[in-house]
Amino acid sequence: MWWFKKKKITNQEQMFVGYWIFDYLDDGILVIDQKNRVFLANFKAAEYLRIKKEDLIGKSILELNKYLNLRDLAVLSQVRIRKEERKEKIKPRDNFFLEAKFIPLKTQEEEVKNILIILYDITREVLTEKAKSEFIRLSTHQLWTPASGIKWSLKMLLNEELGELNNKQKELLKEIYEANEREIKLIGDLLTVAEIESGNVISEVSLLNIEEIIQSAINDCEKMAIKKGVKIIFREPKERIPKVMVDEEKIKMAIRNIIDNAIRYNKSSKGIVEVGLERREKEIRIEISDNGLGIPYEEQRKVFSKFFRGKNILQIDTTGSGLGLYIAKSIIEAHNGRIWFESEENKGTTFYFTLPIKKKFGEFLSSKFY
Amino acid sequence: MDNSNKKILVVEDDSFLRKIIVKKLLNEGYTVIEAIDGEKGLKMAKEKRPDLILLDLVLPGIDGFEVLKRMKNGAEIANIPVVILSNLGNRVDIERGLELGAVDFLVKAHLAPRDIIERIENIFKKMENV
Amino acid sequence: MKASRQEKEKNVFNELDSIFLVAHQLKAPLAKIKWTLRMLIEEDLGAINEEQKEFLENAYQASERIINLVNDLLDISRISKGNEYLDLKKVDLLDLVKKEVDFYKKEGEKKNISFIFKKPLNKEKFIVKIDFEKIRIVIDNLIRNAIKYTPKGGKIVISLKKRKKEIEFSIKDNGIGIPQDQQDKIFRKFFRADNGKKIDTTGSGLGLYIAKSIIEAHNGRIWFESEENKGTTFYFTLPIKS
Repeated sequence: MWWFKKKKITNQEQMFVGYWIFDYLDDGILVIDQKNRVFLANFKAAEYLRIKKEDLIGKSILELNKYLNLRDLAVLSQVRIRKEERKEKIKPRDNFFLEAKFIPLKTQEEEVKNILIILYDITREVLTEKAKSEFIRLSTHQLWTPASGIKWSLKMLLNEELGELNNKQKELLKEIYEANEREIKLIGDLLTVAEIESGNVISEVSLLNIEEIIQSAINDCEKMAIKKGVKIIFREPKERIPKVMVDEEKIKMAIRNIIDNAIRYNKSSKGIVEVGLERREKEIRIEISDNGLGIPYEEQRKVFSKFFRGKNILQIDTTGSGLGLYIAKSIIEAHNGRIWFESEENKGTTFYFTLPIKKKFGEFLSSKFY
Repeated sequence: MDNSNKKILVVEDDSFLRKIIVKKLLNEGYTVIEAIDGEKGLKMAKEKRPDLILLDLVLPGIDGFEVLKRMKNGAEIANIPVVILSNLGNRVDIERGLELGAVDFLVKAHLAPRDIIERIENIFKKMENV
Repeated sequence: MKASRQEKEKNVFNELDSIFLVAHQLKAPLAKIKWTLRMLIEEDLGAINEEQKEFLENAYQASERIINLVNDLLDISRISKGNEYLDLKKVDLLDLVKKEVDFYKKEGEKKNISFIFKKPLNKEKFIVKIDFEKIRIVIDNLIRNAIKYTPKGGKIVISLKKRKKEIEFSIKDNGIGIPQDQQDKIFRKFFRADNGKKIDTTGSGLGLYIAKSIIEAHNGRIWFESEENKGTTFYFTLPIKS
């Protein structure tokens, strides 16, 4: 407390206090030089790495990586070359997770010599996320098990495998069979939404031909289209479309959901759903248009929210879950694409979405992955 | 088709589902044995040497993946074809199941009992042709 | 930094909202399925044979199971949102328990189960500061469990004790008890003991998890003593307002 007696705090004293603050900060801090050697470290960093502070100084990051467990040390050179911050999630040991932020320290000549590494303890968030995913997984299993039981027993009863039934009985059984099918679909959507919300939208990506995925999605929707008297037309692209890096299952789901909507929003007379795709400079653009009911102007801003169903559609089709577009948007945006639409009531709606072409997406992925 | 010489082991903890699958299999003329958890399933597999195993993934005690692992490690029962019959049908689970040696992966909520019978018949047909 | 992390943690519970919103949506179709199955079972639309009846009954129970699970998931959503915002009010616990016992006496009578409420002889009050609705959920769960797992002609004894700093509630039954090797899992989500599952296929396995969450949110304790085929006693405490 002796410095309060003085009128002015000198620079030296400021630095002294500054150093104390640095040393006792609640987040781990390391500063490494051009040769990737640690020349500054605080107590928290030492605690996180389980090494004595004195032993940290002078060590190279490569040597320390057995305690740090950084997946790819190339991040350091990337930070230096690009002169940009990077974030990485690290798991130094079991049940202990850190988020490491790499900040380039620029000299007056705008060169990067040293890197500041800040380590944040995110164990609690990660474990909570894991517990939550597990809970969701278990809950859906618990919901799906009896629903499957109902489905199977109703099927066997309807097929008269257990004995004969009269027409009234069969009719009712069919009705509840359908209700149960919708339930099952709802539970499936729920699981997808829960995955999306825990940040696990994309699981596996590969370089794929988007036309094939679109065709496959169209095939999945064919049955419902025929039932509703809707024709699906796939306009072949005019030029060659490059492959895209996508999670096949998820992109197919997104496309299916949009086409599904287009079919449902069909007017009673002959409906048409047209799917087109074209290449733009840095992305490919897909268009799905229908000549159906359209979305009323007042409701357009709610279209992508969970459980939204237009007032005009609810009177005709009560079975949609209202989750389809929310899911589609989450999937497209997780691929760094954009999705939007144009619609006019009683004329029709066109949905557009884009997917970036490979090179750009590859970069995007590496910065997002755990 | 006379299926009575074919024995199928059903490993499923939910009594309702188990009852339905067993009934369906019996109707098709198969001989059926049941287990309500993974450990009993392994025991039955070793003792009774079924011709095919229907295995659920979410089980009390050791889960379906563990059961599958142990089956493929146990020399005498490693060759019995295992069909996973589960409610968890995401890609990660399917791949893991197939990697661990399951010959097929069926999602309960998406199939009717008839579909299960068809898949089983296909597997038996393939085995006979080999 | 810390502020945004705390925000993130709060949002973790909000993200579970979808599961609960969907649970709500499931209620209507489920009711329809259940009701229709009942009609078919009671042969309102025509005769059915034994095996058809068996499968329909099982489907009926399965639909009840989904409904129970849905309701419990909704309870959890109310709790996880509400743990930060417990609606605490001064309540006479004696009064609450008396009302619950009166209500469940009728349920018990169907199985010839006798209900005894041991309250203290003096006229003391059991005032606690609690979230009335949530504590009611706990007592409901414990009483329903006791009735479920106690055979016909059994006995359920509920008592309230007042100690210096806390009030202790206990409910004792002479039912099937909980097997020794499964006792450590009783409060786990979705866990149901084997002997319990045989008696009732429709439980969700979330009731005790919910009860524990609520009691602990009130800074109370919950535990039990049990012996298979002899019976179970569940206890919970609530702190007296300090």
